[in-house]
Amino acid sequence: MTLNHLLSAVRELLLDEETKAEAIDNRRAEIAKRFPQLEKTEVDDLATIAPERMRVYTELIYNGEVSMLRWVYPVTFAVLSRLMKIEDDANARRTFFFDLIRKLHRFRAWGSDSSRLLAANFQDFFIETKPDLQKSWPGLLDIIDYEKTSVDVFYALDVPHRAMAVTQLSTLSVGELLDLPVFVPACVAMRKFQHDVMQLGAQWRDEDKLPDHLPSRSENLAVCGRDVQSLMPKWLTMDGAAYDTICHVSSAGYMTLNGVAAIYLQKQSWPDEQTEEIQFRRFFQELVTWFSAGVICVKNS
Amino acid sequence: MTMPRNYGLAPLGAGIGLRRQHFSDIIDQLPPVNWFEVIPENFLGRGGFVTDALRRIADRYTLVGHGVSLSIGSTDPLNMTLLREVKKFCDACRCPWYSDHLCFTMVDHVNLNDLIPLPFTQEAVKNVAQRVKIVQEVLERPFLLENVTYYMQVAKSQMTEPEFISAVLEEANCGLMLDVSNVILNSSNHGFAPVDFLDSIPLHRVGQLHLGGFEKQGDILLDTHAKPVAEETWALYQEVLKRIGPTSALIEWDFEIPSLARLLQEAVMAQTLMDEVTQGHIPAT
Repeated sequence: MTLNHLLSAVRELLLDEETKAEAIDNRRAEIAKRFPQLEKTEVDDLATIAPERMRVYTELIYNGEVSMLRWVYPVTFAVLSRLMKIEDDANARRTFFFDLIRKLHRFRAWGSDSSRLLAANFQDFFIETKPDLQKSWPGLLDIIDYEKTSVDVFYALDVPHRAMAVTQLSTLSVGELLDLPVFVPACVAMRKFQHDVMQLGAQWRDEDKLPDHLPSRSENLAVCGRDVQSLMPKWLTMDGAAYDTICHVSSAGYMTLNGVAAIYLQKQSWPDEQTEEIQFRRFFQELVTWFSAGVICVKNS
Repeated sequence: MTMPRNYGLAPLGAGIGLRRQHFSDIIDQLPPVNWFEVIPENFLGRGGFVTDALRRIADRYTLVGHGVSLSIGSTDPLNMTLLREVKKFCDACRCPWYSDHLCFTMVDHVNLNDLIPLPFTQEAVKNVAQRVKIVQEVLERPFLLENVTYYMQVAKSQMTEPEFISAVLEEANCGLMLDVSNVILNSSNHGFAPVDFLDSIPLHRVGQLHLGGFEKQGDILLDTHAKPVAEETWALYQEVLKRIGPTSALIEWDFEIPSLARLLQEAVMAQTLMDEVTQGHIPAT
């Protein structure tokens, strides 16, 4: 007997294709043909399993994956239900998502014990197979990216840094403050969305429902960090200057706040009448927001 | 030879599963819980809120590790990376023992995302036993295998479920995490008497118990962990306690998770029954 052949056969019967035959003799013949490495007793044992008992596992497995993915992609699942016009039909939703996850499995089997890899497979499935649903609403990839990024940031490993409350910044002299070395943690995600999916996500969180109309095309620059108080993902919408500044700090590894301020002030287009003092005040307002959202941290000395 | 009861493990009383939904309540309220069971896979390779909460809870409570993805019965190579991470996790949380399921969850490097039953064969016994020995070497702490629910019997021509479990435990020399609800489910789904099952397995190897809810779907009982512990499970739990005395018993409630207060009611029930049944009881060894 070879255990691995038997376990492989079980896997294939549960995940890929169950036996079609209802009568036990027919099942025996089908299993013997599909799995020639199995011994006769193993074929007999598998053939005696009632198809509906095997189906219990198939449903548990795929429905389990639907639940895991719904946890990562709640808005995406709601959008898909809207696009499929099955928002008000629980049975149709169940069937649709079950079939979708079977397609996902055929696209790429889940080859790890990491649920985050399953979530990544889901995103790749939409990117690579370009299902027709994307034509119905081109923002689908944006919302998938938004939700997956939020979970990635939520779970990202902690990065060593100097713990510093935002209120502590105001106790520093200007010189001390500008000398602080800061960096953008690796978990911080920068995105150029083609649709306002942050608004969509915020509405879902607040009202647990989608707006009547899904967002139309409009470019949004966004950065996601981890809120230093709640440790939850925090998305910030940014203008071009702020976004470019964070990009610059991120690629530099780390720099002093003085350097960050110089980049920000240089990239920002200021009205002629604005004084340097107003510009700095604006920068420090941004800075507090970035610190609070964990988009930049103070480097360990 | 006299065998130590509870597989030599200290009976911790009734505990509950540690779930993310309750982190804030636990940290804020510090409820009177004997111990929590924690699933390492929910924390490995992660930071932020979940690990911060775990650290705070581990500072206050006893945590016992319970895995879901060792895939101990698989023919794929053991995931040594996972195993070493679990070891670090157990060390950091000071877990007195570790458990996982007597099943396979991956084969051909494909995740089946469920606890798939093994064939009750001598070959499967040897395969599991070899792998358990490696697990015990790496983890450096007692290791328990949990009896799983099975809705189909992959191979039944060689031995029965209790014979299979007994053979694995003896050959691997490991402990048993006896899921009492699973005995009820399997007895209903496969037609045997739950007490007969108890009397056919090496009860001195039981280091921990699981108690969870189930639901009827068609003609079978499904192990959903989404309901309170059923009456018949409580009854069998008492039968177990009569035989093995005080032990560590865990309420499993993983879906449609109730409030912490509701979960604690189940734990109080488990502790009350344990106290009543085992008062002055000197179990057979």
